[in-house]
Amino acid sequence: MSKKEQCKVLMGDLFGPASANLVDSMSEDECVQKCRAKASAFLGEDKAKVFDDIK
Amino acid sequence: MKFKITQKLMVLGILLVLIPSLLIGFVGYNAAEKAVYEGVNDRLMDQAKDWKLLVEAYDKEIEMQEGRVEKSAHNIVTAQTKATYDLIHHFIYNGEVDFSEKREELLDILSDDTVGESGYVWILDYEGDYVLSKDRLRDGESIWEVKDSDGNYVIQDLVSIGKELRGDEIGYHSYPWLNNGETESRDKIAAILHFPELEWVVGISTYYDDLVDTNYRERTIEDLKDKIAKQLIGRSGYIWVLDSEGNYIVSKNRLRDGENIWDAKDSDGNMVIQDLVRIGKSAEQTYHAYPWINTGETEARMKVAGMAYFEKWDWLIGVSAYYDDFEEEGSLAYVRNNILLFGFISIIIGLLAAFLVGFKISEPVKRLTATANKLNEGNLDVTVDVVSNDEIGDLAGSMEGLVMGFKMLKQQKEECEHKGKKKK
Repeated sequence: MSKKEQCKVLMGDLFGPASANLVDSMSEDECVQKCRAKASAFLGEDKAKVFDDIK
Repeated sequence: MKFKITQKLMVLGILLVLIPSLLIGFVGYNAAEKAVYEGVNDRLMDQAKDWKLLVEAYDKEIEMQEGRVEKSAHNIVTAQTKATYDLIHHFIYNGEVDFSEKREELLDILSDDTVGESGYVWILDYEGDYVLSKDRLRDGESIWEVKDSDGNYVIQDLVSIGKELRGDEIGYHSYPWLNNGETESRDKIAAILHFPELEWVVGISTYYDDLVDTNYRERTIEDLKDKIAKQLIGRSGYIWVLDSEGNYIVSKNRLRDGENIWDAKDSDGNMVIQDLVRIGKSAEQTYHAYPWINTGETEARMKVAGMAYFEKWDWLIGVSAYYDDFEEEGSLAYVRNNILLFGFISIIIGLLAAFLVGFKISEPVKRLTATANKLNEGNLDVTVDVVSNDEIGDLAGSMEGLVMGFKMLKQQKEECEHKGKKKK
């Protein structure tokens, strides 16, 4: 799975389908950072750590 | 008034379809109208030219016929003159009896001769005295100073021509003559013989129209005028003929023939007849368009006249019609109807497209609005069920983040409150 696909799955789980859909418009390089930042801002640092496992 | 997005888009769609449709329709209709009008101009000019050709053909036929008439009159008089020559010659040179004894008998015989209805034989001596007059009523009278209708000394001319003739040679002389009791002079022809031994100039005179149909020209031109007047151009157009002074030679249904319309004006106040005559005489075939209010109508309509000028008769032949007579039957109506049809279809398609696009946009906005309204009421148990790749999708994603953020804050708040109770 690519980073975008992994991010999409995580964003769907954390927020919902609309947020997961937004990942499509992000680049492969920036998607992890952007998604992590959103999760950290709205849900807290603990929840955002799931993105650290994306390779 | 509050309009929904779909309604606004439908209005926009109609405008976006209607404005280009109107512009294209306007330009297309004008182009078609111009083409139709040019076609009408050409058509009327061609018809005017055709009628001019017909008039020219009539002119040639009349001239040929008149030539035949003149020749025919000439032949009749010549034949009579030859017979007269033979008779006189016989009386002079039949040697059994002296001519002086037969002179009166000859004159009586010649006096009884007629040519056509009113022609007769006359004899003059070299001084212009009648040797033989019509019915012998003026025998001996001098007519040397008599003039014809043009003021020429016709007797002197006849004697002069006669004296030049030799043997049975025949001379001819035509002259206008006003008979007693008549108001107009008529052309007369005289065939002349010369008998120098008697110093006689013998003539046989008659009127042309006693011998042949001299009204042929008049009758033929009248026939032609009738033919012209019967033509109908378009729905209400007709053919007219004017001379250079603006006199009607042929008018509609021939009701105003002979009337002078030189000072007639069109509905813009222009001297339209003077313009027509000037333009019509300037080229072999041409046209002139002008606004005209017909009797019984309240508004001016554009009228056009195709023209051709026949200089020999001073006939300006015009073929006039209203442009709109041709619009209903021609391509202009076709273009107009198609523009209206396609405009109507375009508006329907535009409305449907605007409705579909409006629905596509407004539906997710409605759902987001409903979600936001629930949040506004304090209800965090909502889902943002809008997935889209446009700005609305971005808005939905942001709203989803906010919802989850609110939920997290609410959860943290509840946990704090729970811990506070335990400490107490």
